[in-house]
Amino acid sequence: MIANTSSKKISDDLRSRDNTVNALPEAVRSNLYGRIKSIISSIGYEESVRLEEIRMKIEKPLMVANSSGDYFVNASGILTKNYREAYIVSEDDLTKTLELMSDSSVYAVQDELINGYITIRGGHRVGVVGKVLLRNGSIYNLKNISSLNIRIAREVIGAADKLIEHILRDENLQNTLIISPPQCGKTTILRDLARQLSNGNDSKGIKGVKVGIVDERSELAACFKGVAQNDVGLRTDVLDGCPKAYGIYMMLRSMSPEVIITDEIGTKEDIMALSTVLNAGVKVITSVHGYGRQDILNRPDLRDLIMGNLFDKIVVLSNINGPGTIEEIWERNEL
Amino acid sequence: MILKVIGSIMIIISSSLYGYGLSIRFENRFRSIREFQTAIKIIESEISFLHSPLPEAFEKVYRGLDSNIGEFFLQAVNIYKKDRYQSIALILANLINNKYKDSNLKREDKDTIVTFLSQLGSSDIDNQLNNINHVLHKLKLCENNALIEKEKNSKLFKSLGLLTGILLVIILL
Repeated sequence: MIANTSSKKISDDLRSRDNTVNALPEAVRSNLYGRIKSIISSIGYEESVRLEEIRMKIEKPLMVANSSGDYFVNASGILTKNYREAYIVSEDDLTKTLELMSDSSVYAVQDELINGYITIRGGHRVGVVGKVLLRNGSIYNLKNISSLNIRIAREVIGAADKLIEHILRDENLQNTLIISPPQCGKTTILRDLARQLSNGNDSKGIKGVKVGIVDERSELAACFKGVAQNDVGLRTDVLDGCPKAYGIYMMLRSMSPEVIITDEIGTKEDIMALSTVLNAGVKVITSVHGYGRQDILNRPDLRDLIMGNLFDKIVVLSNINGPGTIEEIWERNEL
Repeated sequence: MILKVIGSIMIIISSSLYGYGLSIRFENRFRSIREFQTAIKIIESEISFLHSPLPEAFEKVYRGLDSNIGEFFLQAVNIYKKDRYQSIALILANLINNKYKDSNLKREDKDTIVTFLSQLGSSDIDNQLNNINHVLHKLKLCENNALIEKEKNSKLFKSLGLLTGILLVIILL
């Protein structure tokens, strides 16, 4: 239930509901500081189970977001569209939350901070912005952190069920590129693909194969202290936090995978590394940010990627019928 | 007569032990400072090479030091696991503030370590390593001072204990 604060009656109804149940993962709640923790923990089950993001900005209203939009949160944990009722995030709330996330060790997440996010236990990713410090033209550090965006990761077992039958041909895996805008479930689908291909499934004619995940941004396997927090399968090796262009070569040399899965390729180096892998006879499943065929064809690097005949199948996702909706699938000869 | 001999021996043993007890404090201070230096060097390598968060680094210190200094670090980890709202470095600083006399550290030694801990974990790697170099330099000065005091006073207190006992026996006899 969401409060429309123009109606006092609705707000009163909401205040009287049972807020004792909260579906947010413990790994998220335990990394929130003091007041923020109690407010977010007060959000009722119905809303908390759908939460996708918790947004904190210093001296701004506390916000959460789900698939239907964003909401302010008041001091009782009630979602509202009226920002005047919202709890205002203090500097202490934000800095102490970040301290908790880094285990009192800001230096330990420095490398992640300069990429704009940190990954906490459970695979939840926390976006961070502030003042960027440069050294020799490269980002060296981030200070005066002013906003956090906690993106709640939820494994969806079976998310790739619909897709997997399209990318198998006579039990052989096809090299596949998934094109998807943000928030349309491409990472969730890649993760479930990794799990299903790795574990195998006789009923679907999938034999377990050795999968190598190159997880540059710790999103697919969501490793925390080296341990994958998501189920990515029995035969899966994860190279965590490594730039894709290097990681793909490392994985190829070190673990002899049959399939390499990686997320959000984009640079020329990534594409060169993928070409090498394909020439070595290893299958590739990967994704790229995009809004469909025309969008990709308008972007020179990505157009080359598609026209270069590296991939057998190209899948476009959207969230028209919820995240993970398959919009269209092209074969190589349809490009 | 036998009672006098036994009494005299007991007086001499007691005063000697008292003198030994006083002298050992100088040795313990010296040893404690060196152990803190070792602990900080373990933390330095954990930060510099592995980027380990402090709870992990503190556990490595506990495993690397077989002494009550290592126990401080383990206690800090255990307290932090129950209450993550406090910085683990500050938990350790509080423990040292409250119990530093057990390790025979002097106030100046303790202040150096506590000041270091107040900065630990709160900034980037370069700052952490600067902070570590600074505290190691200051602890080296404390160590030199402790060594001089140890050499000067350790034997003195042992001898004084024995001689005081003998003097007491002579006076009483």
